[in-house]
Amino acid sequence: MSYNSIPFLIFLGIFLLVFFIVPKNWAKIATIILGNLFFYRVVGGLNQLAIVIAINLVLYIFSLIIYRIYVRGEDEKPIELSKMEEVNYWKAYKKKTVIPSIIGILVIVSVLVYTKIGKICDWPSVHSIAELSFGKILVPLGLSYYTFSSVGYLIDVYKRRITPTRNIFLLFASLTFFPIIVEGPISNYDKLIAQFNNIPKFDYDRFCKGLQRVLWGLFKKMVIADRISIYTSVVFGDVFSYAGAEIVIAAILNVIQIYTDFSGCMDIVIGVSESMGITLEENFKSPLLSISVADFWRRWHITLFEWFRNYIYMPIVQAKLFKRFHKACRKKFGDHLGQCIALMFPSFAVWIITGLWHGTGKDYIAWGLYWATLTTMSNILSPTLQKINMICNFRTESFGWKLFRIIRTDFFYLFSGLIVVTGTKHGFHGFLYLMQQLVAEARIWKLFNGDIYTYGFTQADAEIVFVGVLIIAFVDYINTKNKRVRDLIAEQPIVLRWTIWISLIVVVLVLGEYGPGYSAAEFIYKGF
Amino acid sequence: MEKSNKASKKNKILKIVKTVIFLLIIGFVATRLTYLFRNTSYDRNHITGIKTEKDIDVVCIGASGTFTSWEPFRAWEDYGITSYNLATNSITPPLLKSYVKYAMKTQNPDLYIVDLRQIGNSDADTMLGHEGGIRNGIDSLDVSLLRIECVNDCFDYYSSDTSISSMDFWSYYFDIAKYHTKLNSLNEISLKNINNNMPSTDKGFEFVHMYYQYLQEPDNQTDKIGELTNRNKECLVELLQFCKDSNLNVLFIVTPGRIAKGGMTIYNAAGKLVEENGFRFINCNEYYDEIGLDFSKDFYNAGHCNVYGAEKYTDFMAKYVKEYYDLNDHRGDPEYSDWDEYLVTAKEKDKESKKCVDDAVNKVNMAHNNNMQLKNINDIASWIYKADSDQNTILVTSRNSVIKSTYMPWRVSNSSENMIRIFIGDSEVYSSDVELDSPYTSTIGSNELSYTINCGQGIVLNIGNENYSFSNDGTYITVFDNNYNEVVDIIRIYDKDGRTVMEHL
Repeated sequence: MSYNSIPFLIFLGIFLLVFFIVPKNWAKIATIILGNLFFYRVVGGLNQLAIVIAINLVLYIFSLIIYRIYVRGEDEKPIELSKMEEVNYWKAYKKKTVIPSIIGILVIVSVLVYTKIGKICDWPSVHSIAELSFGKILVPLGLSYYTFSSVGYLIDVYKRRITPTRNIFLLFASLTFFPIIVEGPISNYDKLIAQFNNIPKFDYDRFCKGLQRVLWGLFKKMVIADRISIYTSVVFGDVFSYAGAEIVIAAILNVIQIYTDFSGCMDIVIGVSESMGITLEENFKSPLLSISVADFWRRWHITLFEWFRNYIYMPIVQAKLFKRFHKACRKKFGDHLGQCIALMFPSFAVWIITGLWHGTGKDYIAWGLYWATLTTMSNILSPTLQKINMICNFRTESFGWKLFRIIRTDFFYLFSGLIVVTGTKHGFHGFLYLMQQLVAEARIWKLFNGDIYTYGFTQADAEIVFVGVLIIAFVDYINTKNKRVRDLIAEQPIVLRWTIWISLIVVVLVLGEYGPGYSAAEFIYKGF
Repeated sequence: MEKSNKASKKNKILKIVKTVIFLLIIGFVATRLTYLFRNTSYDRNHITGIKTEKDIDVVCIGASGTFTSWEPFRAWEDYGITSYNLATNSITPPLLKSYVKYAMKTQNPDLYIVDLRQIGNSDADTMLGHEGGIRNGIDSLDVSLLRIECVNDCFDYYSSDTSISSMDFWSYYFDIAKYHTKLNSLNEISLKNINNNMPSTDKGFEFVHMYYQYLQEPDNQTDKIGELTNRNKECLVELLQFCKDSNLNVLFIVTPGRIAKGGMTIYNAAGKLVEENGFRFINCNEYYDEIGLDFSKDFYNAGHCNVYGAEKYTDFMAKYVKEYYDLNDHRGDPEYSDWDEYLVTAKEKDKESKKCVDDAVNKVNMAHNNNMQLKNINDIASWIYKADSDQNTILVTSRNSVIKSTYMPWRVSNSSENMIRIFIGDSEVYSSDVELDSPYTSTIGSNELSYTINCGQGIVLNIGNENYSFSNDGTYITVFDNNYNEVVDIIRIYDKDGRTVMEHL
């Protein structure tokens, strides 16, 4: 039951109906839990739910253990303490929470680590817990998403940023919340629980806007992403059989496919939640219009990179050892270069983990190193490039310059895609061979003699993708101006806005890639 | 305060109204898109056409056996009965009840004639295997609760079939999922079907003149009562119960065809069940003589009448229903004058169709006459010229010899019943029918005789009960008359003293 399938839409219709009919907040939460269980049963299998329940219990128990220690601290706190004394007082209590925090995090992370090790060791995967034994792996639906969120929740409790919930059902509802369990966004459970505690009443405009966003997501996924996958799956499936020009086209389309697939899914997920009155974190902010690598990763899969920043990057940067190292680097290499060199370490750590999160092969480690090198070099060379710009008198505020920077950033992303295509999995040798294929076997005429339309991706498909991408680019551009296209549409006369939405429904119905004859492509970010 | 409450209430009502209107528009657009993208075929027209008919006396429900046999224009001409064939190809048993219900939505006929030909379907039949037949029916019905019920019935019937994917499953309910890819093949006819109410030009009847097959009357008469499979029995019981509950006049029949004895026992069982429930049952395959069917002329294949057979069947059946059911004669009634107009055009079509069948019969007879002369021809080129007919199957076999291209000027068409197959040693080097699974065994002729070619030590050809052994030298060409189901001639061609020799076996 994929988010773009008929059964999901039927399920969603029934779920929303019940959700809005039941009057009390607890009943709405019960509806959410039942909906989650049903969804998980159909998509993941109920036996995999045991792992989610186990993680939920661990999270619940350890968060309360940590919290109790702090409560005791609160009870035992002397009335009059100076600021310094209070800091030291809490440090002592924080130390007491270290062990339960570490145990909790290790238990929660262990399943994810085990599956990652299993993948690296090529262990056979099984479908149910009953078949699970050492040397076999089970990858429960949405494992990495709820693991990351759970770890974040526990660390926040440990750092006294939040008060954990005592209601295990609320925690369970958040952990298994069906819109986010498959592909995220990696949510902040505390914020989610706060919203579940006070679910707003049905609001017609919000409900409509949520569904409009779902429709937009379906358009991106079914009309654009799945259509492109016809071409990219063929070319990347046997990349060395194709001409360089065809691979370049596949690489460009691959960028659009990943973006429309993942952001389309997020639109559906956020739209569904919005219609219920639940606000989720945004995961994309028009990333293909980014002007630099750093900007790109601030706008692409935002929740994942925020999680890495908050729970990996920042703890490293704030560690005493790192601060000493940072100081030493600055002393030796100067302020700018020293800082860049020092920050290389947390940056490389984050990027390698990001690579391993995407996949367990060497190609994904190479992918992580590629981005780590790129961001580091970008930092190091930033002042030099600024100087060059000044010397050459480039008009850095002009549209042309911005466009150049956008294309350059997208190219970096495009190139990273080539690192992980089939074929380069054979290692550096495979990657070099691919580069040679791009140059020596370019055969540019293949783009013009109609050959690229012979792999199932027709000229009509290409035209649909072209027009679709223009529309998406336009909508993204408007969004960068801090406006929402759907808000602009909502301001139009009823005939015009209804025409727009009905046209979009027709486009999805007619041009969407679904139904028998298509093997509906899974969402790319499902399965992490 | 009261004013603001009123305004809020008004606002709420307005939003509800807007939502309902929006949903109605979406529903309307989605339904029209569904109709637009569906297949356009005569099957669909048979379903949609009944909506445009008025005051139909007899609705004939069934599969292709029905729409090729019952001629509404003839029933009108002879008895003043208005009738319509609500029938689609390869109908599956659960659809029969749905079709009755569908007919009831737009007509109030005096009689339903339900063809139970399909009630003998095997339990091994799968939904996937019958997809065409099922979709001919359900994907022609209006988007409605009846259609959903109809799909449910089909899934119940094929409940043991687990091979249906989730997407296939849902596409039966939302058939736009199946057809939306046909954007490039939309045409003017698709647009005409956008409201799913395209009329049927011949009241659901199809003039069959394209094909003709020479058949022999089967030896199938038996009183033995066989056994309906559980799911077929359940289907029939449900149908009978529905007809009883709805107080309908229904005549259950089996349309004529070349039915085997085993099949007849199943129909006997069905007939018994029908009669036990108080309805009449006629298996037309018990009345070949009374109907006057000539198997050598009246069929276009083993399962279907051509226009000659249809004429005889309609005469027989119309007379029967007139005699046993209270049907009014509307001839001369000005309200039915459109039927007189239809009669004129239908008779013209009937005449043309019969001429086509006559031509086909002549062709078969001519081929047979040619075949009779083959044994007297001793020149290879002349022999091949005579044998080369699309009414024959040609089997060329050679153990060791190279088959010379001069032996291969055949023009036999690419069809399972008119084919040429060439074997050298253990391998088949050519077959005009690319869909055959096994190169060494298949069926030929209108009687579907099985044949086997064994290319082991020597070549052995088995056709039906006949065995032919060929030596290892030379090329053997066997000519089989597909219509008369017999081997007409076999020749051996070999080289002797530097010259090519041909001999008849």
